[in-house]
Amino acid sequence: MVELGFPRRIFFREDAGEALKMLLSDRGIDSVLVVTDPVVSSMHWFKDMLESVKSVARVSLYTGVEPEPGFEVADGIASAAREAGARAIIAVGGGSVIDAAKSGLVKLVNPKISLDQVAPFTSIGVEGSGVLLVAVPTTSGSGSDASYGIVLTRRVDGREKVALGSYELIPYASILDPRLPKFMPRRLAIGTGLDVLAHSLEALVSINSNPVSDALSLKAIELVFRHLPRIAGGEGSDDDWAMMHIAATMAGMAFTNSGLGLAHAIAHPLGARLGIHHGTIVATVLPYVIEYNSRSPEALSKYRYVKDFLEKMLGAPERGSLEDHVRALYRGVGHPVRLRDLAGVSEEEYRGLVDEVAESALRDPDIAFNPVVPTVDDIADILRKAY
Amino acid sequence: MGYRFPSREWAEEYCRLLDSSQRYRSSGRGWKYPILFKVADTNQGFTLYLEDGRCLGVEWYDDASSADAPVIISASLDEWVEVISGRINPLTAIMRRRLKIEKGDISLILRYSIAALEMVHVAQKLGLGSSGEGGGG
Repeated sequence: MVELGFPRRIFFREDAGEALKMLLSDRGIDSVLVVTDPVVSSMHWFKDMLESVKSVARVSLYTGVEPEPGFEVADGIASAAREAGARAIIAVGGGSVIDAAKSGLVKLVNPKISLDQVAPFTSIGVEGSGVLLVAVPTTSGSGSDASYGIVLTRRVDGREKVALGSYELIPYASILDPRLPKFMPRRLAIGTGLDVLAHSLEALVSINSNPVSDALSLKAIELVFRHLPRIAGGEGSDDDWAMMHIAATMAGMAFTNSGLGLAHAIAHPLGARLGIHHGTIVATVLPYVIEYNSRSPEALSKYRYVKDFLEKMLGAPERGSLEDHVRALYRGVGHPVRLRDLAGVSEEEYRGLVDEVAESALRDPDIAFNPVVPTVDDIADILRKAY
Repeated sequence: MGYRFPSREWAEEYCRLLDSSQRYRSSGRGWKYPILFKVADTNQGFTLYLEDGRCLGVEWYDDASSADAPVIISASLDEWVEVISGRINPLTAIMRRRLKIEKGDISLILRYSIAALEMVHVAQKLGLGSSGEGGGG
């Protein structure tokens, strides 16, 4: 028996402004807070979208979300929403913006709660508050528009990424406008696209996986292998961008209803220490985790299923293992296959971090769902190989 | 002959074995909270005083309905038997609400998932005694 959670409504159409108008009108919402970051707020399409929303609701703006936001962002958003009398928070941006909006919603409806108390099955007061969370993702990666997770950075004695989750924080609606991710820089499109692959492959072999999460994972993996190479090569069609956009949401639904694993458990502390984009770091670690997890017969069977699918259905050349296919994809999209190839990571700096990152990874909640229970030495070994 | 689960003797032996597990000592480092394990259909239970990878003591309750601890995990006898015998992963059991976190922070428990798995591993070594039928204190 499993419990599953999804957004109530998903709009997949090339006009986010029109979708928002319909949604707000349907729900009789006349006051909203739009949460975004300085880059998105300067874009023309964003201003056009706001005009659409303004035709049906009073709009207040919070444009101060920074990349990898800290816990303090929640109070700022909650305060802005309270002042605006907002009946909906509309997050327009990548995973950082959507996660910030989720944390702000928690503080809006439950000002006394500590974000550390956000947990699955714990009532946090969002449901029943009457305030809707609507996500308009502008990248195709985090899946936060369909997930129950929040990743925030705690800046005390260094940087620590903290993953939290509650079923109450799955957005009410996700609005997927496939024109928006085209504004991403190419490198970000690749990093976020490979994050989709990591979400899907980790959800597929999670100990909590189930037929629904498997179906979502497998389709999302197929979409990444089919469409990301053309986007990375600068020849992405409208269809390529659209398919990657919905793949990200499908992968978000997959891991919300299954779990993530060791690649994410490693990427959270490693990315925080090195200051490298999450998708880039998790993708780089992923093939080494696939190799490690292959000692689980259940995981290996699913990896082989994906390998066979890639070779027989997508026409990929035969390779020795799934991780070989993943590495071939990386070479095809111009993504490093080793951490040493990422700018700014010296060997000395990296070797000095291994034990500490391995210890932190062992304490990451995502490790709970990995198909193989690693020791701290196993993780350190993966980290050394990945360099 | 093993000790029957649940029973005072089982809980005491479990705490002793847990305290001597090097893997638990390492994976449970940093954990500070006593955990009350309740068998919902018999009302029995026991609290393990866990701290920094050690099990410092155990308290048995013939009637655990009013017992308290910072973390309380409860399930029917059948579900505990499923977990201890290894037929279901304890973390999957938590996420599917077959083990109920009556009190405590599930996020914190997930951060100690390796310790949780080691606790099950140690319980498996101890076994369920005579087929896990409920016993007294």
